[in-house]
Parts: sequence; C-alpha cells; structure tokens
Amino acid sequence: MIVLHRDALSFQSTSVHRKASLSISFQRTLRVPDDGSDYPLPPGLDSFPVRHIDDYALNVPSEWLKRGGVIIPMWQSEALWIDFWSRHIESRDTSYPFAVLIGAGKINAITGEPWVPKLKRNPQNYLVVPGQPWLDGFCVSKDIV
Amino acid sequence: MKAAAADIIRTRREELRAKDQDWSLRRVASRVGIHPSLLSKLERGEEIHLSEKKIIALAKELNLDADYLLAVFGKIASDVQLIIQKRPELFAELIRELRKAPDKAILSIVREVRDGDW
Repeated sequence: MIVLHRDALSFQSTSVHRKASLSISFQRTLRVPDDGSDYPLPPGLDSFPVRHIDDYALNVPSEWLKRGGVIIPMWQSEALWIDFWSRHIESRDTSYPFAVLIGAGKINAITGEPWVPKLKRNPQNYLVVPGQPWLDGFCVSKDIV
Repeated sequence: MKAAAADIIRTRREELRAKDQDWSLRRVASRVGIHPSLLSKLERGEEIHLSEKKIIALAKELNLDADYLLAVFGKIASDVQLIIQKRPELFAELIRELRKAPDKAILSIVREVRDGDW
C-alpha cells in the first residue's frame, strides 16, 4: 500500500511485519552545471511538496492522469535527489529491507537499461533500503551517471 | 510522558552510538540544532520544551517516526491539527470510532497513491 505522508511516498507492508515501512522523499537542491567541471555537493533545500495527481485533474494533461501517481513542482534551475528511510524495528535491531526499482523516462536509473518492472540480481537492477541512504544520480548510459 | 520520552530517546541514541560514535550526545544535538545540555536534560527526563520542528528533526536523526515521537511529547503535528480544526466534529467522531480498530483497518482508510497505466 502506497500513501503520501509528509511529502513522501510511504510504503507499508503490514502483511510482512506491522512496522515494515519505507519512506521515499524528494529533496530539493540546485542544478549543477553540466560542463564537465567538478563542483562541491549542492545544498539540501528541504523536501519538494508531493501531491496526488488526481487533485489536479482539471489542470494537467490527460496523459499524466492516465499514469496516476503523484506530481512534484520543480523550477528548471532546480534539481532533485531521492532520500530513502525505513523504519527501525527495535525487536530486530534493524529496519525491514526493501528492494527498490527506480525508473526515469522508462530507463532503469541503476543500470541505464530499458525499464523492466522486475527485480534482477545479475547485474543488480535495484537498490536496497536500508543500506542505500539516497540516490542523486541516474545511470543514463553505460558508465555514465 | 517525560520519562517515556527520555527513555525512548536515550535508548535509541545509545543503540546507535554503540555502533558509531557519530551518535554521541554532542553530535546528535549539533545535527538537530539544540544545545547538548538540552539534549542531556531531555534524556534525563527533565521538563524541556522542544518545538515541533526540533522534535521532528530529532525523530529523523534517531530514525524514529515523527508522529510517534510527537505523541510521546504529548503533541500532535500542526498539519494534523489544522485538518482536525477544519472539521472538528467529524474527525473527533472518526477518531473515537477507530480507537479500537486494528492497524490494518485504519491503514485501509488512508488514501492510496493511485497507480495508473504505464
């Protein structure tokens, strides 16, 4: 079950464990010039607001509505990194593990391969939370992030 | 409530510090943006007023649910309060009706993110 909670996507798997819970938020930052130079990490500027797209049905193209999900407002000068958080379970002294597939423009962000909605181990096409605290780059093609 | 909050915060921070010195009292206080003496008093159960923003920051730092830690401090998140205040009788009735409902039943009422056609 996926819900919006405090501008984050919240995934609950209560059938697995009452506290199996993953939160994915989208953090605002500044776009770094894509000129081949090195730049320090840009600042974190808090979470982007995240809204159900259905709440803007009258204002968005029908293609967007068909896809469902959520929308995030961004200026062109802004950039985004993805923050992952999973709930700690005291009795196990860890958080429940989640395998997460990330796609952008129908490309798997981890491998740069065409999007396939399936977990693959070799090469691994998913990230694991906890363990992966954030994602701030996409693999746009082989060896290029 | 003070003792409960103190116990939860101290226990959780010490669990984290046992694995990584980055969770010392000073460092956690610094990252949350409060004076170390304040965090120390909090962990000893002394009466300390923390703003909602600082409680949420502390929860995030200790990997605890923010609403849970707010509740332990006897608070409700301000966005939740605003929601209730817009329709107080309705939400009061809803919350009273749901007070004994199992977690699964409550979660089923929460609005799901709709997955569409890709």
